[in-house]
Amino acid sequence: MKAEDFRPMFLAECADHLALLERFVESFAQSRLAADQVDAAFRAIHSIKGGAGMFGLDRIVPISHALESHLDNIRLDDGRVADDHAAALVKCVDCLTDLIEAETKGFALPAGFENLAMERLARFAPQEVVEAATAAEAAGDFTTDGPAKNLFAITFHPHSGLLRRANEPLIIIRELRDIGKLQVHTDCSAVPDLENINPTDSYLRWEFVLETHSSEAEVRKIFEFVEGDCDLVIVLKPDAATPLAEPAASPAQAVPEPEPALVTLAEQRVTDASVTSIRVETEKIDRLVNLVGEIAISQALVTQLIDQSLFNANPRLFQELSQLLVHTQTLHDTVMSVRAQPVRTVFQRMPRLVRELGEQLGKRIFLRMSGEATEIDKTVVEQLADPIVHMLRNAADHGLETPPERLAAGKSPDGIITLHAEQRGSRIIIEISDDGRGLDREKIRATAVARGLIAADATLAAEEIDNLIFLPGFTTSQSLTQISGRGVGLDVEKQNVLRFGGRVNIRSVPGQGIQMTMSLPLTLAVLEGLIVRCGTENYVIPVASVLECRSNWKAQARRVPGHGHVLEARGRVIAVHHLTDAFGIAGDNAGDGGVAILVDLEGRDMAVLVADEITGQQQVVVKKLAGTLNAIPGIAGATILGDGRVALILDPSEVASVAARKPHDSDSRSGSFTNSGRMVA
Amino acid sequence: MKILAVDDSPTLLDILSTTLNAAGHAVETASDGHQALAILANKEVDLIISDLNMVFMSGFELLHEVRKSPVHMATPFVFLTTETDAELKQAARSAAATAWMVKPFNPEQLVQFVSRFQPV
Repeated sequence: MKAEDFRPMFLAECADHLALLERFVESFAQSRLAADQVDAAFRAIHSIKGGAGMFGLDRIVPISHALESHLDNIRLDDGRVADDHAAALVKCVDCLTDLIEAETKGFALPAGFENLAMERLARFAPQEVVEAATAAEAAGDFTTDGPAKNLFAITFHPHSGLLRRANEPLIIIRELRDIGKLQVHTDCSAVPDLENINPTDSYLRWEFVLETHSSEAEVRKIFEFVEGDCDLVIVLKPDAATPLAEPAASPAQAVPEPEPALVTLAEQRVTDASVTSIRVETEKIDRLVNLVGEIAISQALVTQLIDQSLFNANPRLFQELSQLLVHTQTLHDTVMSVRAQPVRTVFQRMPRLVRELGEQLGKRIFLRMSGEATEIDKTVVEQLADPIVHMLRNAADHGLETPPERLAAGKSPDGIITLHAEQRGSRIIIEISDDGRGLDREKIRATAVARGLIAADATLAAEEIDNLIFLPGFTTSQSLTQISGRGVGLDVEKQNVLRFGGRVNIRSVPGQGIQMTMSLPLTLAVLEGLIVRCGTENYVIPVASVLECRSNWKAQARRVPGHGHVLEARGRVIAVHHLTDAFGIAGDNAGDGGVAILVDLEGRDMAVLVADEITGQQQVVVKKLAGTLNAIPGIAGATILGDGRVALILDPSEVASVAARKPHDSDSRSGSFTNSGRMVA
Repeated sequence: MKILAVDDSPTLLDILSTTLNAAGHAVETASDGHQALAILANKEVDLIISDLNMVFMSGFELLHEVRKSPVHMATPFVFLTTETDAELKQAARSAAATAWMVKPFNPEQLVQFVSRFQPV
């Protein structure tokens, strides 16, 4: 393999390093980093710099070098960093991220793109650092242009009495190693035979070649306590460019250093990582998931084909088949767990976002996160970011008050937003809460009335008012600020969450804050489905959205002229939609009879879907529909049932809105029902 | 590493023992030279860190006593002091001290410094 072949691998590694750096950005803001954080950030930048130098990514080297020196200083300064310095660092990390992305995707950023950020950072010039800074350098590579280095040739011949004066050459060697890159040659020729050795005498002699930022005086200082007990010659070599990488062809007595200190930390880490994990293309894993789904289906088919007589004839068949079932299930779970990712991958971008929001809004906001290790399927993780970002924006912009308002309300001026994830059963719960003013119900109500979303005299429970903010078109122009109003209202976010089987709820306590709860399925690849039949067609309704099923529903229904039937359920009047009407197919009873399925639409809204018959309930593997079929409203995907037939998976909210647009009897234009069945005056 | 820290400031002893214990060392403390010698009479240590100016017995006197002991004649002995005077340093060198570290120090520096004395 050529070095160039490792380049994509390096760029992928860079992405990991950057993700790690991202996590420290929030800590920068707190003006103080824990020692291990600075170390980790430093190592990440250092690895990027080293690799960039090796692969000739010339634009990445200078900026990562600058970041590295600054981080090194922060490390020496006990993790302290001034606010504006932190901001400059963050900008530089941003630039670095963009540069690496450009390299990864193969496009070029305009020349000088990174200059502004680097100039800004340069204003916080690293202070002169003597020892430890160079110690860090010692662990790294030398492919980049750092500050000028000195190359020293040191001859160190201890007198025989050096040990008796409680001096230890090893300590000196370690100290030299701490300030630079050290090459050690030990001359053992003076060591006598065993019987002639005096253990308190010193017999060894050393030649060192030291590459360091330190001056000769500083190097000499290391020998301060042995001067007089040794012959010492320190020569500054004029040709500092001679690399140390290839050891000078040295005599056989060249002895390696006592400890393998020249292995860089980065190298160490790469070795460790390669043992515990491998990189696999997601496409391969997706194929694996698909195949496991197919196996499950084939197995169900086989099970159906084997009839009771066969089992009776061969009792072991049943036993083995059960075993197969268990293994398939385990295989399925395992494959799904491979795709599982911690929500951290999404969460870690948020502190940064909240910090920037705080800056823009003039509010001091602290983000507390918990449950970042909660794992969910990658298909869900990918969908999580947008709704979380949107909700955080809302919390920061509308939820939290300004510092003066908070003080007036007797709260701390610093607002707190909590982002929490946890698994409950087969769902993952994401909670975003703030300690702000809570929803202004009067204002929401007024807005909803003004927009014709509710009647002026409608009586709504407090919770119902809160949920009005999810209605399409609710977002008011007054609240359309740059932060939260990016042309997308909460309703759209909610619809997105619903589309992948999620639910959103809001709870507000006036003066104490708002809590938004998103509940999502653990995976989008498999769902628990209610199988219903309409005429000759089978449909799958996600069980997650089914509230109740009623046979003999006609007896309870009322007929509304021009709008078909309505059904009273859970204290509400709800429109009844026939799947046969919605999809224009022929059912058994031409829309009469059948079974009524009450489905949950938006957390609080409901609809009744009528099918001919419920045929079963099972886990189905969700397959995406290809091409144009993908865009059919009301259809979320397809699956293959145990008998090998294809069934379409319904998206209840879309089905309800499709059905609501179709004429029922006659005269359906003037809608006095919303599609969700809410009565509107 | 087994370390003996000698200083008449309890605060400094606290800092030393907390920092070094956290770094995985076993730290014994003595608030003066006599206490230190009493400890060394029964125990072997890998490193002695001592203040220079202490009550009862100066750091130099302690060093002198320590070097008389056959067990500790070669034990690394480090002065941790606020003194930067070159003559004092020279005196320490003559008395067979191993190194000199100037207060104040930060914990990371201390840990790194001490790690150099790790016996092979």
